Amino acid sequence: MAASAESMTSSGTALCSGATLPYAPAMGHTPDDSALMLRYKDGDVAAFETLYRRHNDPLYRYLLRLCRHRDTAEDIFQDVWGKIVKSRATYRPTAKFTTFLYRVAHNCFIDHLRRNKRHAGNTELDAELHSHPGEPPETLTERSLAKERLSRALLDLPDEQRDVFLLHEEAGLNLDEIAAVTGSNRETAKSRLRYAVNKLRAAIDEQSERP
Amino acid sequence: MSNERKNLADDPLVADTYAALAQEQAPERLNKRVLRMAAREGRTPYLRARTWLRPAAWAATIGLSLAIVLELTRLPQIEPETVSMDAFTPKDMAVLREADVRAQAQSGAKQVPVVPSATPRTDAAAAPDEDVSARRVTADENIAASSTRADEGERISAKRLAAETASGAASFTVAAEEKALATGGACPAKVRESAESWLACIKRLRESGQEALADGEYDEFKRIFPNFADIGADK
Repeated sequence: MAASAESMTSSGTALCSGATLPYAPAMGHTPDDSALMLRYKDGDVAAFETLYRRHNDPLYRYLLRLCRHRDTAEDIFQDVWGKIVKSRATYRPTAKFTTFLYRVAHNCFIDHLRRNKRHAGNTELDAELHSHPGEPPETLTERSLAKERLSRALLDLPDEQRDVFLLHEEAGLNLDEIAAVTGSNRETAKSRLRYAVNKLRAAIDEQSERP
Repeated sequence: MSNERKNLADDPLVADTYAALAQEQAPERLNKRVLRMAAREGRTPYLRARTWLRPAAWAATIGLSLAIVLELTRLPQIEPETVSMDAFTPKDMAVLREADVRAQAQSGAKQVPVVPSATPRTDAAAAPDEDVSARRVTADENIAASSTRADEGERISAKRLAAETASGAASFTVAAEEKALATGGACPAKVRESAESWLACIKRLRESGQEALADGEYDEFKRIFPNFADIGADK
């Protein structure tokens, strides 16, 4: 886990400290989120609140499952929004805001991994993220069991694969955007996503086939 | 994107199960903390300045107003002086009356050039030099009479002023008549307003040898003033 985290750090931690996006000019997309960000840049705090309410829950879930630790996820969550707020002066709407947001979140997570090497073995709180912690399996329905198994399998995924899967599911990013966020190429992102989905499906099927 | 997403998420069971699983929401305390931080940081320098600019403007206005009011209250009050007539002694009243008389005398002397023939002369046959000297004497007498109780300096200055005024008036009259004589015309309309001055003019015409003009002027004089008798100016 630690080795995989180290490999992810090479994708660029500079963004977490507010550096410009290398992929921004290639997008050329100006969604409403960017307009809200520009309004916030001009001092419209209400625009930021709208933007925040649009993205806070998916980002929180992304960080929660990526960190596998609630307090850490909340710390990084605040750190990410702090970076977004501070970057408003230099923000240019040349990229999709979601891509920009998750790129910052990804890099903040990488920074956290670098600072806290012990994170790799810190799984005692993983049970909190299970759908029904402490509930005996025989009392759960088949769908609840599937959710339970998916949750465990998701937490067991390698960081890169879990990151790609969460970016796809929570942020709704496509392969190019995932590649931009993670600092990899499109094929790598596609491969990681396919591996992640296959493992999750296998986990669900394997548990279901048990008598 | 949709086709790609369908291909990526070709396992709907995984996607649906994850959608049912991921229901967590960001805690409200976290939301408030982030939004408070964004509101604090997001204000532009103008908005930040506006928070203290308005109170500062009010304070400055009130301070200036108080300073002006204090300055106005410190100014010495100027009240109009009320002088009662009881404050004057009879001696003061006499001095005031004398000053009035003197002022009237001076103003009368000054009015001489404006209306040279305002006062009819009884001695219409007198020579111009005599007329001038007579006026001067009259002015001197007036001044002497009015300044009997005045101090010496005032008397001298008043006498000098009257003399200058009288001599100016005389020179004005003589110059006007000489101008009329030099142009060969009759007596001017200003001179004709008074019988004495008109007769004096006719007399001067005769003395200067302009008998024809003098006769014409005399005929005109008799037509205007048929009852006025003056031997000196007669034909």
